[in-house]
Amino acid sequence: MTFYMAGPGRKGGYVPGRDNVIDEVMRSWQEKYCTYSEVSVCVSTFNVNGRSAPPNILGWFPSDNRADFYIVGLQEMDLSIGTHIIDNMKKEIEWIECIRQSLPNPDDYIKVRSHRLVGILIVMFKLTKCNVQITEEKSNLIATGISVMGTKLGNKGGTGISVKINDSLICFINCHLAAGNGELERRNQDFRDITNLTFGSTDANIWAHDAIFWFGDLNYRLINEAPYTSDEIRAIAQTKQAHQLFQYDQLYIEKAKGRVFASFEETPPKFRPTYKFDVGTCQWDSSEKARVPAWCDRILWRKLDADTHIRQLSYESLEAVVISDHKPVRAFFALRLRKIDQQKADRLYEDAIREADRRANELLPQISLSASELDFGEVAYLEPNCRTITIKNTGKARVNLSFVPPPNKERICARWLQVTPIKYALRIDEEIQISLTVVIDKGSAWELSKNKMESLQDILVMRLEKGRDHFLICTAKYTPKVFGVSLQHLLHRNQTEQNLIDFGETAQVLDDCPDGVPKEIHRLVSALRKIGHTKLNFTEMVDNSLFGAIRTALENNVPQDLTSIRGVTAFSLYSTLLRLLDSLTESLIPQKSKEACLHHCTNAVLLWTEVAKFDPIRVAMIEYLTTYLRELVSLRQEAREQLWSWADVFFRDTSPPITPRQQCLYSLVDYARDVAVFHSSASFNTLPNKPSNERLQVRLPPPVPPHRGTSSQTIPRAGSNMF
Amino acid sequence: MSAGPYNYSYIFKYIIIGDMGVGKSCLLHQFTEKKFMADCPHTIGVEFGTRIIEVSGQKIKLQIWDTAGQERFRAVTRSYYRGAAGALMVYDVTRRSTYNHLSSWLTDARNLTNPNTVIFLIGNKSDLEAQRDVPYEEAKAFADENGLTFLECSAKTGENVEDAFLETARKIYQNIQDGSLDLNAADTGVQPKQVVRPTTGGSAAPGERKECNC
Repeated sequence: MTFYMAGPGRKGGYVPGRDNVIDEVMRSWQEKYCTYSEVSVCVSTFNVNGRSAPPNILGWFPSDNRADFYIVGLQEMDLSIGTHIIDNMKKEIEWIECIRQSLPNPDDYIKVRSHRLVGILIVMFKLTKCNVQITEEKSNLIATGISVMGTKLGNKGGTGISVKINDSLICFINCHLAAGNGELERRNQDFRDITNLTFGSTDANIWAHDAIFWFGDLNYRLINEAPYTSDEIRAIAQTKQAHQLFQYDQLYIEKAKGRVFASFEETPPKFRPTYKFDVGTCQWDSSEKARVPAWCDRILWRKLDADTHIRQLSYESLEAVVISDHKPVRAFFALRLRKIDQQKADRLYEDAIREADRRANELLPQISLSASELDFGEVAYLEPNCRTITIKNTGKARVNLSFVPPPNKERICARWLQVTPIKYALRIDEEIQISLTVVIDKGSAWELSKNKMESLQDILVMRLEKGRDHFLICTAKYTPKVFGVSLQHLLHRNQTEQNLIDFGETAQVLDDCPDGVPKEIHRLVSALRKIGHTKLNFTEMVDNSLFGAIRTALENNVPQDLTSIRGVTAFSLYSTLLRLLDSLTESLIPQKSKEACLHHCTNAVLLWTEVAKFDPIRVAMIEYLTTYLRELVSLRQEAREQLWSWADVFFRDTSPPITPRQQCLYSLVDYARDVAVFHSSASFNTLPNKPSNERLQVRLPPPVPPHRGTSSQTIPRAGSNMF
Repeated sequence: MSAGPYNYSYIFKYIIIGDMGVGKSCLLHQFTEKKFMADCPHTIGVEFGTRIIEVSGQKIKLQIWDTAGQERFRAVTRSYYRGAAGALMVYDVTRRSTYNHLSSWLTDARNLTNPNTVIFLIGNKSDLEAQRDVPYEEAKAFADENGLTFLECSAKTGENVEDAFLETARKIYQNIQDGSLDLNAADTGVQPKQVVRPTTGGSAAPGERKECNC
């Protein structure tokens, strides 16, 4: 904003341009430190069709209305051949003198400045005794016409004058836009090109001016779609009803659509079209071309903001002037000028700073949260627990919010917590729901059991862009029970809880639970046996609510018999068993023994020898589970493919190659430990590699009579979706 | 917020720290708005406010981060200390516990800011003389021992609030003038004359720091 530059070096005073908000405040407070005066401004545009300047033009400027300033724009001031190449000062001097001599009292005026682009001339006169100061005056031109050798010729374009009168910055632009009915888009583009006009330095663009007066031969015509013939238009244009044609004016329509002169104002002309006349008459063009009349010559203005006051007093064409095929157009304006009282401005500066602070702080993003603390209570393994909070934009600006990782953390929240959405742009007064979900998966469970944590707390940082941060506190309680614990923990749990459970049913189940096998595993396997291996449908979908019911039964020991759970299926038990094994903090095959096991994957004897080296709990578990699987596979050939999943669980590894791990499982399931050991002692060092037909059928008698399952169906691998 | 470059002589980053309920947010509010917020909710997060001040004829923009005082947020709020040019450490003259915790706050402030950060001790609620629990002299001695500037203030009446914020700025400015604060060093919390974008939020990398360090 350049309109009130203060003198340099005044200490503590107001210097604009330091802070946009302060500038805005000072601007809105102008009336507190400015005095105003009104001047009259007369603007006129005239396409002179290459005519030589007469000594003066009578009636151009009425003698009974003497303006403080006259600004005149001419077009086609010089059409002579070669003008585009060689400048001719003579015509310019003559025309400026003609204009001066046309002023009400020529001697009372001085020329402020003029600028010419070939035939496009702008000149400004000031009433000498007018009591305002012009402290800066600059002018420039911009050419938009035909481009020759990369340089635009000056046959079309604009010339402008920028003046600072008192403390108001005013700009006048005279232009000649592309001609011809079909050149609408070219005219629009010419306008846009001319708006790039600058004065002096590059940042002094036209838009910084308090007022812009823009005039010239804009060359806009009536649209071809007007519902009249050319003759009808000429007839209407001749009458007092001419103004009714204005609705078909290209500029009027384009401006309304915002395509051109968008922020400019213009009073709809009450005068007749100003083009094209037979020279020397007020008759419409009678040449062969018989041009349709149009308002080519116009005067528009633009105010920077509400502090600029412009009143248009008149807008007319001068039909009596007949030297050209255009008529001159003339407008009178009352323009308010400001004068800054610098002392007052400096005194207001401190207040303006405070006001700017207030506005800046007020514009900081503000939101309200329905809660900043969420307690999820007791949460269970793999049971999603969801809460929502409502966030409302209560501020005066759009809010971009996002959850960001707390300091020294990479994730925005703990592993057991999920938040959506993590980014959002809130409009003023808009509300959104943010959902937070606690899920204890095996990874979280391991992390929590490792750190012996039961009370969970996480602080999320929600950042408002360019503003404050909000913290969101999430708490939950999680007690490791059956899932996500160590084998030791599972076994230990059995021992401590044995005394707490009422006997009867329990005693019986526990009776046949082998030593070293957690009761929960045994309960699952027992229930599977009770339902029967043939009822196990591997194509079933994993049902999470059923999983929840089985998990609860395992955790609470009620009901002891898992088959009594409502809706329970063999598959739901089977997948729970896999999930449980997968959730254990340690793999059944210890990490350190993996290599050895894979090495012996086809040799059951050596494999079992390796297993025998594991800790007793693992050995018991592996024996127990392979026994179960042996039963299953012997009754259900198609279940062999299931061993792939078991290989993943046993080794806690899914990376390639997977074949050796699967082979391990085949070996362990196909040959029971004692059988393998027996063969070993009988010097059978190697067992057949492909035991499918010749393998030793060693199995425990199944608890339920064997049924032949529907072995024809293909069995998908009950896989990753179970974990 | 309006676009375009702001041009101050300097931008200083402040943090306000101290126990819950000592009146940190009220001090900020009193300083930026010259008003007392009677029912100020606990800050759950980090508040932000700005004000332009003048020191020795230079216009300085203060960016003030007001942190949550609750102990459980301590781990998170610590990250906002980095890059502060001034730290206002606040206790409540009517609650001795808040005064007793000062050494812990001071340790954080010393460890987490740079050596030139100006730490200013504020005893807030000086208007509640009848309930006074910490004598002025005792706190003054503590401040002297630790090389802190000290004032008792009232966010309610506004007494001394301006002075605390301005005096801190003066000290920072003095450090710049006498060269003890190296503007090229990292995390000074001072942004010298240059084009500045309005700050982004706090913890990991507030915009203002990035720009002066990179």
